Amino acid sequence: MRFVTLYLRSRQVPAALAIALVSAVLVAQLRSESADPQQGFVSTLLALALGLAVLGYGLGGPDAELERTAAIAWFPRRAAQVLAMAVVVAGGVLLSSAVPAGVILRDAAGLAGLTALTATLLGRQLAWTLPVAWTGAATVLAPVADAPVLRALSWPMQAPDDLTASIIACGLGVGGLVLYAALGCRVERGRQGS
Amino acid sequence: MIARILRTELRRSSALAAGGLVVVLGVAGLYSMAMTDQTDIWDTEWTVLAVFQRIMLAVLWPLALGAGAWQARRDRRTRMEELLSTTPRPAWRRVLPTSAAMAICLTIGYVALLAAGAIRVAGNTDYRPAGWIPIALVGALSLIAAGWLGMGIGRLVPSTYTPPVLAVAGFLVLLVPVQVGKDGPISNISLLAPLFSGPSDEFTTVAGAVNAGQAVWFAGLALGGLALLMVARRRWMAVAAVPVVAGLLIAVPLLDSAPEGGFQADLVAASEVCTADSGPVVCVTKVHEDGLSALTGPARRALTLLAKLPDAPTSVHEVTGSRPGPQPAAEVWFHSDNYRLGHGWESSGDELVVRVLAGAGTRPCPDQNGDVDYRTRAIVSAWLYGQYPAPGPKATGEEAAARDAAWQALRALPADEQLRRVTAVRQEGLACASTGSGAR
Repeated sequence: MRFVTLYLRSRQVPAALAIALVSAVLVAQLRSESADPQQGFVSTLLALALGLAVLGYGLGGPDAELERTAAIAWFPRRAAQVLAMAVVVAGGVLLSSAVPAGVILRDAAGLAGLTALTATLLGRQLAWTLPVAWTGAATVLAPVADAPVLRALSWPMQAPDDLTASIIACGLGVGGLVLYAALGCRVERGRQGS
Repeated sequence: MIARILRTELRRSSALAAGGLVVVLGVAGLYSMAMTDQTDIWDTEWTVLAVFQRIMLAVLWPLALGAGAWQARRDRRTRMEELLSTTPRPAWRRVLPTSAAMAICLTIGYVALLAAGAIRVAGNTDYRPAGWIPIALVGALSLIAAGWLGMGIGRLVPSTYTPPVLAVAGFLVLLVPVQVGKDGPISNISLLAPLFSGPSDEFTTVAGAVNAGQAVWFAGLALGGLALLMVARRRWMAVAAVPVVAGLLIAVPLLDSAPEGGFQADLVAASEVCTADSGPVVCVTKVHEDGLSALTGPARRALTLLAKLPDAPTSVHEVTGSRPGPQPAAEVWFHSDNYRLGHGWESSGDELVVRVLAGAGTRPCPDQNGDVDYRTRAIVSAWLYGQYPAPGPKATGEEAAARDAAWQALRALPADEQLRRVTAVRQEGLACASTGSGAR
């Protein structure tokens, strides 16, 4: 218990959790009065991206190099953190959004993996960039996406029974989870964030 | 001194990444349309490109906002704040090169994106209106406003969560009103967003009042962001509201005075360019000037075929759907939807003759329900051409059977009755007030 408390505090999770949940629940409340059900996904998707982006900062600690010297099993701990992140945000959004649960769960899994992947590649400070940018681009792209490639790129906006979207979400989710759990957050040399 | 710092900022700050992001995402957005051959929603004409680029701001604008907030946190991120605050230089001199670098990079990114689109547009049209330049300039200004506003808010709320929250907030502000606007009546207040609700065509342009209003509004936003960055003490940050509110107060009446949605007819693009030789006059719109030579021959043949009608027309004019009727009896009107920029007329030779003859040389005219009687137009066209089915696209299924029956019924009538019926169709078309779109 003591380890968990210290671990979460070292990752600013208490504050981030409050911000992420409150903002995600508020944003998911926004309903657009559109006849097209797909357009109703927009605010829910942005809510997911926002929650994960805020929690993504906690994927790394203040001193990654120091943490690496610790003789503890990082893999299960990191994996558990990504999973918990996805579950918490998906749960909060599920409670407040009218979008089908399949879409929320699929997108939460895919975007959580993407957040972990971005943290591995760019570091915790920039972990929000890819999920937010991809979600935003997907919501804009979806109405004009006819080609298979464009439909795949706008996977978060596709219907719950879209196979390609599910495959991409699974790939991102599992890939991001494994890569982050194995490698951890990128070490940010010379810029030790606050 | 400032110049040297600016050079360093251009090379080292995240402004470079922000500009690069604009180019990469924007060019990917433009050319992703090529996958489904939809590039003609932006590559036909300069105004169309400028408006489409503004639509892409739906993605670029929030990201510029987030990039600005990210840049503003640099001092804190690197734990330089205390050190820098001991230097005897005023805050505004320290942030000036940084904000200038951000503005320069975002502008270069926007211009490079424009240039990437221009490659295709230049090959598609010889019509060079000046109206697209203000549209593009306002777009670049709005991007600078996003960058500076992001930097200002990033300084106001120097939290590590500010950049993602601000970027998502930008997406929400831009995307959710667009969704609402598609159903209900479009309020011009939504033009305070940098993007337009839909793509334009070659005969529309953005109203001057909208360009002016948006320029003032985004200049206000940019100055507000800059003020947030430059004021030395936090309690003076309220000053930043002054340019924003002033911009809003000037912009809202300007935007409200513009037509709904912000677009207006481009009268120069729709003005006529006519043949100058001794034959019957054939005119096309200015923006379709490249198609004049291809239309002249078929149009003149159509005029000779129309000569069997009483009070026969003597000239052919390409007109847009918004041109008010009634059509003069001496003219043939040919709808501009028959021309695709970059491709030319929808057909050529005999088929183009048949197209000009449709409805005995009138525009498609929708009835109260908005339906156009294409069957009668096609039958009349075939009668004038003297051959059924006439060259060109064929109807299929039930429509083909109905057309066959209508053709048999017309041919079964005495010759002068046939002529009277065709003339009646032309008279009806001449009286048409104005039409929407629709070819044939």
